[in-house]
Amino acid sequence: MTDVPLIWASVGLIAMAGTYNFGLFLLSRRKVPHRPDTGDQRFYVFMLACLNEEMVLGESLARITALPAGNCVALVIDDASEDRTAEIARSADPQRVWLHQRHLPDARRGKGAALNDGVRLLRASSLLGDRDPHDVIVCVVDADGRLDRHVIDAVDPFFNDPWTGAAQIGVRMYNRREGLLARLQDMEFVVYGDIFQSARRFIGSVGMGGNGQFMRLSALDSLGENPWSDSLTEDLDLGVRLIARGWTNQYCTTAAVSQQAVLDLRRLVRQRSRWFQGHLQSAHLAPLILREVPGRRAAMDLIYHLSSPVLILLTSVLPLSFLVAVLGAIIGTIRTGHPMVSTMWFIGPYVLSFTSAWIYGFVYHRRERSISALHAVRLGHAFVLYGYIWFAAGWWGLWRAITGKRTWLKTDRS
Amino acid sequence: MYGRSALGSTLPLVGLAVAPDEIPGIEVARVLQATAGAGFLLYCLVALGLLAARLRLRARTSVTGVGPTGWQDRAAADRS
Repeated sequence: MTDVPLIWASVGLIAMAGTYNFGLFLLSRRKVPHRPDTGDQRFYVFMLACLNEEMVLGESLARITALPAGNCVALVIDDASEDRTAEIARSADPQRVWLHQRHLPDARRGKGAALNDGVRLLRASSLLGDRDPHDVIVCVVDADGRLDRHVIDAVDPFFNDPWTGAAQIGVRMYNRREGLLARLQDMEFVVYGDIFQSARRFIGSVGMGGNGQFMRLSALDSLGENPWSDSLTEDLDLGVRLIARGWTNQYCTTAAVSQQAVLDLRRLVRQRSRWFQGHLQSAHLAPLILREVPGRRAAMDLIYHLSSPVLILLTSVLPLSFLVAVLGAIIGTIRTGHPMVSTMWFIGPYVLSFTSAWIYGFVYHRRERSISALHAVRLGHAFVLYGYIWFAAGWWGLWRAITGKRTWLKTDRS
Repeated sequence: MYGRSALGSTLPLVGLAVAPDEIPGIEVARVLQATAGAGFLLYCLVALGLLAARLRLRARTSVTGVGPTGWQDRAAADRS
């Protein structure tokens, strides 16, 4: 059989992914020591890039203005909304909520462009007074983002380290009780944060997300005039470029921002396709990583992370193979009149596929104590199957990338 | 956000290894699996190439003395 080495190579693909995931799970269990307090008084600016966000903005601003720390403001960047977004921002306390309005034709050029405009405003205006950019922390929050009340207390110690350029907090779904799909998205972000991001603190490759990313203004300044790119995953780009600049990215496990889960499967796949396409666009960062990221482990992990779309597309072929084999077994059984596989046949696939479900269930249960351990394990099994949406999203995203389509509608609020 | 689904797709491996050869369509399943394997070998080849490129780039950087931390050193000097 000439294809035997190739079949073993596909085993290697799965073994590599499994080993990597399990290794990161073990690494994520380690504790991170905090730097001692330096006594620095830092100022926090929560930036919200908004395009027609009247449904969710009021609640988010109420959360920010209710934060106990008196050293923070919200900067709403209205990207030429046609609804009451600007009005809602204007009606908030002007000492705590600043409004910056963009107008067409310069507006609506993507989230990155709006955020760049916000940072330009901070640099050019007198809003920050004579504060040192090193002690100004810019936090990007989605318009539907609901921050934990203790978020500043949780994040601030990370910036005691002068080389910390950014810190990402956890992401949760506030509507996670509204069905299985919302629950699995919540689990997805918990697993990603508590395993992968937590472990990457020790590798030096923590990534930034689009919601709940805290960055020093001086770190953003080091990235030039426009820190955010026009990529569909501008957050991924920014995190990598910060690391390449020599900054450290941190991940904070003790605070989170809650956002709205997508409740419709088709819209969810579309959202993930957009992320996937953005991830493909980020391939141009590879030379930068190879050349400038300090630390071989961090560089290799970032390259692995950037290349994960390729692995997704490769592994998507395997379930097809399994499906053909199962259908063949059923047809063969009917034809011959005797079973072509024994019940033992299913033990191997279960162990290989669902061992991770127990780990994910364990991690999720630790974060979400309101559900039982047994239910968490059941969710872990559903979560493994949920991962298959990336296959559909991946091929859709690849198709859009190949055909040169770059415009995407933002995911609707509901 | 990626990587977890890779474990979910291990299903065909054991199925293919244990199922009897008379199963109709098993050749198609094998071809699909071999395709993934070939793609992975190519991936490994490219990864090795990238690793070699990094070693070369970093070696050149250390010779010229302009390291990635250069910017931070300047920033630290600015701050002090």
